Amino acid sequence: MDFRTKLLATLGAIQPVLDEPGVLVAGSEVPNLLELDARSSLIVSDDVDIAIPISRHEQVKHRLKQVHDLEPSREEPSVWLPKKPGMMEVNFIGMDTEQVRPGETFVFDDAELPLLVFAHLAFLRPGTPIIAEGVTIPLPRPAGLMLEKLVTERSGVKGDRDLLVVLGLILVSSASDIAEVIQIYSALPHDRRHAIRSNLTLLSLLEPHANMPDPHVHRQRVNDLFAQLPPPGLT
Amino acid sequence: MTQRLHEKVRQIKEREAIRAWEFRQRHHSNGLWFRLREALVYAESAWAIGPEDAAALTQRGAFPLAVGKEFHPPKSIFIVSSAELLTLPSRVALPMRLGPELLGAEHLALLPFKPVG
Repeated sequence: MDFRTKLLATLGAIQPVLDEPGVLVAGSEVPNLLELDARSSLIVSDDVDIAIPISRHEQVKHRLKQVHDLEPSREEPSVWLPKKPGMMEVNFIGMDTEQVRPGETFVFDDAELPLLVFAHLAFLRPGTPIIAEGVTIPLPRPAGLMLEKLVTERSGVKGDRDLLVVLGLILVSSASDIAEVIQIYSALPHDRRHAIRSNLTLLSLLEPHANMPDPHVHRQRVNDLFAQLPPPGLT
Repeated sequence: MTQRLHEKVRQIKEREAIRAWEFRQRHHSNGLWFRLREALVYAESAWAIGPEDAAALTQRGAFPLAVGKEFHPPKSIFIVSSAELLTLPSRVALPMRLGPELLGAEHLALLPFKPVG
């Protein structure tokens, strides 16, 4: 079974959750879904992240009762595992959109659906949902996801792949998406701005990886974005 | 049951603390690699050049980038135009990655991207 079919089958299985306002598909599968007809040519990982606003936690738990083809992992109930082949793992993660604990990464404790709330997921803003194979998929706007990927500390092959996801997002971004990146960037603390610029320099010099956009071919696009993000201390 | 999640939070906070330290160190030796990458991100291509060509550039009034002087041994890194590049007979194109070719070159000529718009 091809990757796209698996991804869309999984998202279809959790459609009740995706229908909850504010819930977004996050993480590295987003550039796949933003491709024309959700072509999913970038194979990054065999799971999909679903960002849950913590203000919608109760509603999501209620909607999860309508999900039948996946079940929570015994060890980590925020991870749901497929009950049948042809689907992938789903990681439910928390998003503090209402800034209850701004800038903080923390555990939202719950016996049924605990969530790891990542500080930088607060950058995500709902974009235009797409419909693929009958599944309605709520996606974030590229700008917030790009910054979330650039500001989060990563290392090793996973870190490289996440940077290539950023490249994938740059390639599908419009001028207004880039303007949004610059606007959000300008309001960030200095150390985060530095992290973003530092990660862009890494992306610019990264080796190509299979099934991912080639950073050498697109260095000009990375340079264009980098040049528009002033170093911390200059704004 | 949430022990794994708490452990992940601890690891994330540890990485954030390291990043804050790196940010404070960015103007010191710890920030050297960033400063080199920052010079390279603006370059469309990088070329190794011989000492004669480096000397010729200096004679013509070109200033090497400060970041090169921080290496031991120091590197002379010049920003050149495409016309200047053609006057450097020793030039050898290097792959744009932080590999041995680029890091091993003692004298570098960087050709910047053309500005957009």
